Formats: sequence, C-alpha cells, structure tokens
Amino acid sequence: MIEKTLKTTAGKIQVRIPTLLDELTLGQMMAMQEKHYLDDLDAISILSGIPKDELHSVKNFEDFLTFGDYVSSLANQIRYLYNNDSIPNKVTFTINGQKTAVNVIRNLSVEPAGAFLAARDIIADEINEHINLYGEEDWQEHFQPSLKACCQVLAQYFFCRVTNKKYDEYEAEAFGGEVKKLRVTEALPIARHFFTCYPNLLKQRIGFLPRLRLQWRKRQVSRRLKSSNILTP
Amino acid sequence: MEKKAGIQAFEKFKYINTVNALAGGDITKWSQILAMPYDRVLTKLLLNKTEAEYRSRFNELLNAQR
Repeated sequence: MIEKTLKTTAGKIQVRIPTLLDELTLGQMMAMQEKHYLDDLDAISILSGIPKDELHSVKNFEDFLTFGDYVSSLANQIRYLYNNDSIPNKVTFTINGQKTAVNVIRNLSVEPAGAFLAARDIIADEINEHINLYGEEDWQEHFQPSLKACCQVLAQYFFCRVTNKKYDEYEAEAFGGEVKKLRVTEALPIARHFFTCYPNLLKQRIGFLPRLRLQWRKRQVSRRLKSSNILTP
Repeated sequence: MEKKAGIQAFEKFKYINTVNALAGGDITKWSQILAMPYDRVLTKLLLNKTEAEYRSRFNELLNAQR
C-alpha cells in the first residue's frame, strides 16, 4: 500500500492505494473493468475509494504522479491475474466486525439446490454470451469470465456457508457485496474453478454402489496380495 | 411440436421452471425446494424423466396394440 497526504482547496486528504495485486479487492477490479475508458484519476479514485470530484480539488496535480507509477505497475500485474489457478485453502469474511473462515479447497460444491441452479444459469449465460460474440470454435481456449459473473457465482457458493442461513435467492444475490471485499487473487481462482468444471458444480460424492465396488476391489487386491504371499517363497 | 407451441417462451424464467415443476406449481413450496441439497433435487428430476419416458413408451405400446 502507498499512502500520501495531499493538499486540497478545502484542506487535506489522505490517499491510500494498493501497490500489489494481492492487496486489490474483487470489487475494485470490477469497478475498473466496468469503466469503458479508465484514466489514472479514475483508477486512483477506485483504488483509494475517494470520489473523483474530491480528487479534483487537489491543488497540485503533480502530486498524483507517484500514484500513476503504481497504477501502471498494477495494470501490468493484472494482465497475469487470469493465469493464477491456485485455489486457497481457506477464505475469511469479515461481516459486521465478525470474522468467519470458510474451508474452500475441501468443499468445492455449490449447495443447496437454489445456489446450484442459480450458479449454473449465471455460468451458462456467460458462456453463451462469449460464444455469441466470438463464435463456438475453440471457445474454451480464449474464454475469460467477466468479474461480475465471477462475483455472482461466488455469492451463490459462499452465502449459506458464511452466514449459516437458510438459502434465500435475494439474500444470496445481495451477498455479492461481501464477496466484492475478497482479495481478487483469492476470489478469481475459486470462481474460475466453477467455470471450468461447469456443468458439474458438485464435488463428486461416492455413492453406495461405487463405494461397494471400491471395497470389493480392495478385497480382491488384498486376496491377491495374500495369495502372492503364499506363492512367494 | 413443443417448439411450434412456443416452449421457448419459458426460457426467460430460467431455473424457476425446474423449481416450479418440482413444486407442482405451488409457489409456497419454491423456497423449500431451493433450500434442499442438490443431489436430492437431481434424483427427483431423474425420476421424473424416467417416469415420463416410461409413460410415453407405455402409451406407444398401448396405441400399437389397438
């Protein structure tokens, strides 16, 4: 993070912006992606959370030059954002001052049914939109889901787990507000996982029959091993 | 046949079509279905599909006999 106090026509403002990708939230990235034309001042406004009008009141515009360098360095790092595939073990949410940690890597199923169905529709819409724009051929190779869709899918995935509430489609959708506070480097790989494993958004559970077959195979292997013990002098 | 009748008009309702069908058209049951584990919902959907296929085959055989 870089922090600087700047003189304004009305007094002073403290501007604090992230310098590393790891410090950037999903919400900040979404706000930048949604802008069709993003100048340095827009970026500083989004990254610092200070309205652009307030930044206009800074007396010496050269004060922003330091931030500009960090913004362009951040823009370079963002290019590689989609290459990161490592799903975090845990994700921590802070809601009303209370921290809730959620195990992610061990439980990658979108539950309950409402969350699953909603997430499936969001992903399908995003893929269809991409195919309509760029065609069906090799679409998987250049498909990158929008951060908005990623946020919506994650809201469905996390809502019940974090809040311990019964599923409600409106509350789950609104939970996107909390998802936006996650670091983009931890949020994006989880969302990407769901986009790549679509339409199977459930971590496969082993049912009774496959479990039985597994046991049977284990027994057969153990028998063979026992026999091999007999056969081996 | 279904396309000619305009089944695509239901597309805009997305997953609510599934939920409504499972709830037997009863809106008061929607939230109960949405809160169910997905594998249970999936089992019911598969059951409905199997049942529909069976009924269709049964009717075909019945019509062929007449």
